Amino acid sequence: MRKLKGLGLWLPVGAVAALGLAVWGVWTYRLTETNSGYAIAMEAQDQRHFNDMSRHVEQMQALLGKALVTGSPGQNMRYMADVYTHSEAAATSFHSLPLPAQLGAGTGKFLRQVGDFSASLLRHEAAGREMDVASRAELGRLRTEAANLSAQLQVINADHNQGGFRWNAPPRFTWYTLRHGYHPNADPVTTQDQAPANLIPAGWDQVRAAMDKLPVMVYDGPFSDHVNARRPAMSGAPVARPEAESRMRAYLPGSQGYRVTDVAELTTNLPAYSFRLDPATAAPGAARGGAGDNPGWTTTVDVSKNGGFLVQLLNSRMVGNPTIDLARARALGQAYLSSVGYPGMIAAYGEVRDGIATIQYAYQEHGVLIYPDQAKVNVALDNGEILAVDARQYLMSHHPRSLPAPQLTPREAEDRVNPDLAVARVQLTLIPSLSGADEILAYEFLGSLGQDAYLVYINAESGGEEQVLQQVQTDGGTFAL
Amino acid sequence: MGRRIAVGLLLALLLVTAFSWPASAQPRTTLRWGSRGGDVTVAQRRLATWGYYRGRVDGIYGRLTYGAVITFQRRNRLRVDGVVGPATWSALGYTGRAAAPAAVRPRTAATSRSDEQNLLARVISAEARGEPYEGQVAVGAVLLNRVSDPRFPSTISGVVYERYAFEAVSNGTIYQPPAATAVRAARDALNGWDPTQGAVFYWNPAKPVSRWVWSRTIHKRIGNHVFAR
Repeated sequence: MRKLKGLGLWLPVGAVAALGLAVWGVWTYRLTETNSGYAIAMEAQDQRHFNDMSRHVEQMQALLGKALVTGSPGQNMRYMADVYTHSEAAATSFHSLPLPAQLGAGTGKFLRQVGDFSASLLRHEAAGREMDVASRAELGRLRTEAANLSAQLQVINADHNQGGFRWNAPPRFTWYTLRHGYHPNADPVTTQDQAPANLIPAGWDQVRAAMDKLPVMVYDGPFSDHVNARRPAMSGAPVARPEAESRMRAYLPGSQGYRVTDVAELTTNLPAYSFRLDPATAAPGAARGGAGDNPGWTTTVDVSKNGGFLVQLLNSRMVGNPTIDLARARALGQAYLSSVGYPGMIAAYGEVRDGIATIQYAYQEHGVLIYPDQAKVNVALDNGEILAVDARQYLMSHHPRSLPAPQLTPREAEDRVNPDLAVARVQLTLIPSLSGADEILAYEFLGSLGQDAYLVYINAESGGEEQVLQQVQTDGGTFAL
Repeated sequence: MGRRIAVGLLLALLLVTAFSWPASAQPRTTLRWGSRGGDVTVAQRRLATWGYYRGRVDGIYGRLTYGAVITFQRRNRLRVDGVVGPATWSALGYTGRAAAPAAVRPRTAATSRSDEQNLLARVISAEARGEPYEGQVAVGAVLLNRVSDPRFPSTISGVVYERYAFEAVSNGTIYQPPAATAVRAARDALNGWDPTQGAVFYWNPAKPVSRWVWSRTIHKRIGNHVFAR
């Protein structure tokens, strides 16, 4: 009797528990099924990107070979354009793979540099200059490297086909995953998590080793290695920290209202002291580590160590309702730049967003607008305060120049412009070359075709067309594409 | 750094050259009930982004637009008359000149730029919430430095969504709306401000990171982040 009574109590409890366990079991099974479904789908994605990449590298290799064989410049230009297309596509596929930066940097750089180099050869040939012996040798070397990479990719692919590795895998039940969980999307480089690191196929280490050994490439393009080594054009005697601080006080508008909280040092090829300031009225430390969205209002001023020039200024004060207009802001920015030692700057572009005017200035000399020597200023439209300054490009490139005299008159240059463009204005300018290493004297024509405004640059010495930019009007101003 | 500057010069050219304060500058037209046209669209769009206007952006000043303008004027202590004159225009953030042809021109380029700014702002907001403003601009600058570095993808979205690249993408916080300071930081970064002078990596030294990352050249420390190339 008593026994039955006990059973009567435990039976429903046991039944509910068993049902619960069954539901939990089925649900876990379904989750596992879904997870492995996701892993399979991701595997297909990654393997597709990998195969795409292999295919594009193979094509690069073949096209570079053809470019070496052909005797016709026209045909060669076609191959160079195709190499560029395939190397960009290979890079895009490559960057879609789940590889950490540590393993991928060299390969990504190789792919983009081959494309960039081909594009620079294409530009030279389009301008009528024949490919020289050095470029030819470089193409041969790149072809060999592309062939080597292609062979290594095939080894990795064979490994994948034989089940040697998977890009993704559903979590396996181990003591490690039970204790630490499973983070398939965590970067093994920054988290030191061993689980995803095991997924990276061994072959990539060999690819990385080969890619990191490649020699530097120097040519006329934005990714050329030589642009890495540039030094600032504006330099001077080293400035000690107290001197830099007094200069900072002179550069910062209303500096008596601020208190220095921290000084950092920038160790780059434009070394600088970086002063962090809080408004003197704020409670100590209130501006940093503040709550949530708005960490408060801080100001940073960078002063260069060599020469004590103003490099950068950044003030995060929130602005109120505008009381001044863009034209006034332009004048304020110009006067400010002149007062901190950057005279002769002409406003070239401006945009208003949320009560702040961003204005770009370029240096003008003998009526020539020198675009490489540019500086940017943010002006608050509520009280005209200078909120931000960026003078890095000016410091990097401003030096005394002996400007060449233009070989063409503006009218002769205008004859080179597409006659469909209705020209509204012409201006003599100095523009950077595509690699940023050289400067070109060019006439800038502002004109319109249909609804759109364009800027066309005609080389003032050779008469060649250097650049076309589209001008875009937004609600707050203009910018160029 | 050098490459950053070189590409910066290119950008300089791209940005700086946009010239000419529109020669045909004219003040925004005054809008009232029944007004139509591009300026109404501009006002409706701004009122909609700020949460005052819930109707369709159709360029017609009707009942809903009137309601939105009235509420906007009341909250901003303007004269509550439902007329969008110079004072209301300026409170809406449009000072002075209107780019009249812009309203009819295809806006794809401007739109894609604002999409990029939004994506950048969301990454900054998720990755650098609570950091000083300088640190928020710096995170945006790191993303843009990667775009112009051959070791990384060549588009902003490519850099952001690269596998393993950003924690905010891995944990989904990137899909939250950005904080106001992050929007401004994204804009400053897109306009070329870079407190790190060319960094392409950053990490929080308080968290465990690999020895490889520490082998990078450190440029600067801002708040809780170390920036390096």
